[in-house]
Amino acid sequence: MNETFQMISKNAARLKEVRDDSDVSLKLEDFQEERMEEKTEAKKYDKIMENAIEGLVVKNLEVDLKTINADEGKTERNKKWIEGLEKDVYVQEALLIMKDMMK
Amino acid sequence: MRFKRSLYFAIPCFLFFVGASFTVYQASEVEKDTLRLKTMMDGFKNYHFNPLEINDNFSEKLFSLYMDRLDNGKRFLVQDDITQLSKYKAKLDENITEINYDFFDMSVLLYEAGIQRAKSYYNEALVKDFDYTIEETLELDGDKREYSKNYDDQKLRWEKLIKYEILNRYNSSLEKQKEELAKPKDERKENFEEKSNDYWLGEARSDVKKVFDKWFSRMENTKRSDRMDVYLNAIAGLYDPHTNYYAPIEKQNFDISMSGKLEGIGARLQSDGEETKVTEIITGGPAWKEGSLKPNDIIIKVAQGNEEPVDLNGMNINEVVSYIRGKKGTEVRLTVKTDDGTERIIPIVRDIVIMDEGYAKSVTLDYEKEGVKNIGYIYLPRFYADFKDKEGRQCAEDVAQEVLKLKNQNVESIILDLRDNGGGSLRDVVKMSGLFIEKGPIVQVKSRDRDPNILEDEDKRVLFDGNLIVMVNQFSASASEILAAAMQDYNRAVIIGSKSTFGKGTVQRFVNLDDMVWGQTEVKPLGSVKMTIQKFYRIDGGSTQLKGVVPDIILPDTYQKIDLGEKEYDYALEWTKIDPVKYSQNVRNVKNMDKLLIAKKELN
Repeated sequence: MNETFQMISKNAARLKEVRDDSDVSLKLEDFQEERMEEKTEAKKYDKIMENAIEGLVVKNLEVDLKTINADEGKTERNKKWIEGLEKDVYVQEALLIMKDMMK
Repeated sequence: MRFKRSLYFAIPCFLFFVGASFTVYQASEVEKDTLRLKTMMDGFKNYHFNPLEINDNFSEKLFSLYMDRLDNGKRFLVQDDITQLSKYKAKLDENITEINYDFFDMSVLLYEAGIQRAKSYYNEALVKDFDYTIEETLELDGDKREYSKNYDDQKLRWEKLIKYEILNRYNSSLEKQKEELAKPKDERKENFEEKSNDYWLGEARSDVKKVFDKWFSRMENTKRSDRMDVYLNAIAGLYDPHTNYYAPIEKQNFDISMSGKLEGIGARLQSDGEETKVTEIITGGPAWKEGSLKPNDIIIKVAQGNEEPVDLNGMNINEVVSYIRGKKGTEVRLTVKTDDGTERIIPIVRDIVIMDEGYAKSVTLDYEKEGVKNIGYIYLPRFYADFKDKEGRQCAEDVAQEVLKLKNQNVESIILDLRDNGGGSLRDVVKMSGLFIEKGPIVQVKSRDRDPNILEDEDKRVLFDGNLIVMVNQFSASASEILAAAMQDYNRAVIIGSKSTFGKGTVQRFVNLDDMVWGQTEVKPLGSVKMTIQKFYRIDGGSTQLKGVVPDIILPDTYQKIDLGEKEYDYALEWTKIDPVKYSQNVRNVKNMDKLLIAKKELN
């Protein structure tokens, strides 16, 4: 199984725990400890979908470039969108499924 | 009564208004409330898919739903308030049919008294010297809390709430300082200076004061009509989760989000309840063309042309926006305070502003190391449609355009991304589904007491006959679920995503209450009601209500352990089934689904 999906599953379990645990201690020492634990735990997952998927190339259509480059705001938004897609493990998976469909 | 011809459906967005007001209610305001209530109830009776008997059972359900929404964190009302209000528990049906506001007025009175009490407890707590070594806890989830037993108990709750707020900020500051200290000196932030614990505690306290002072002032400025909206929405909520009352400005916001278009100045604004700040200037819009308005500017006053300016201080964002938006060609004059403290007046002529971020767009994808190249990808965040303007943007046409553009690039396979797409126009989803098949039924819709109506793609043309994947997640709702379900039933596409989609299988229509009332212009506009008028069914007869669409290939998801979707809502309509219709297509069938499933089994 794809490592990223394994991480996503584990992170889902962590999120559920964080959500269910809504009774917080107001004792500074315990509070600090709980937060530190949560933070350390969360840190393990903050790299999910942070790196571009190797070999995945996302290209704007030639016909769209004129509009996209018409102003800075659009260019910037487009850049962020493309970068997001390059890191999107679900899109990667879709491509792998597509490969099987094309067989 | 006239219906707008269009059908909408999307995940609702509840607006909760909380606050206190001390104005004397004007008679016309009560008259208006009565008219709103009566007309809304008439609408439900005549058109809602599942009309309700207004009886004791209705009354009890309304009581608990309204109480949940009025004080959902259980911060303001105490047990005794609930006891007092409880005497109306079985009388709310009469309050509605005979139109009296005994219960509502009492709830507002007690709630506003609760706010004043809370405010004094808060002010006391703020100067209290808390002991952070005592073992005690605070429940953060309002649903898991009980109402405070009495005033002492409420005072204690507020002390804990404030203690928590201070503690939280204090701890973050200490953590940040620790992180900086751990770095070598030359890598630390500029001007970094180690501060004492007492200093950070003081900072945390003053930050809490800033935030809560504003919050309380917002609550105190809330109008009776805003509270009435909460009551009306609690009534609507008993019918189903997608039936809501919309104040005129909220309806306008909805139309804007559906069409991606508005008439105004083209600036995004943010209000903290006191000041209105410009956060973004929309490129190409009137403010952008005029050129002087900048992000971070504070708008202090607004004048319509050469009329007297209105002071915006203390207004919520909806009120502010209602002064700034307006018909194309009219002038608005903004009094603006810039970063350097100078004030000036900026005149802007309003125009149509297009917000194109929400429109369909596409790219091509290559993943050559896996041997796939030139795959089309279409992103559709919403089934948007401009119901008022035929020349406006309609998503089915836009997606067809994107498909054509991709075909011009010799794309043979397409991924259609409907993740987080909460739905929209029914007409468009039928048309869009039709791009991928010859012709045939797409979805069945059923009104109450009527036979199902089959909505078909009548256009024989097939725009795209290649491989198709539809991506969904648990926030893909309504129209997204129709498209995914139709493609799945036709075996035309592989659906991939989270364990199921949202689970909304109902159609809503907006009813403008003004259209139901003759004359009485002095109290109009009354607002609109969005109500569920139909259920929809897959062509195989099943429903997506509660169950959603289960993808062919399920992928792990960040929210897979958290209960989400229609089934989590109170009073969601039940799952039902009707007869299937005949359907088939031979444009392209997904051939090797079994193999795909085996290949992907390891994912789960």
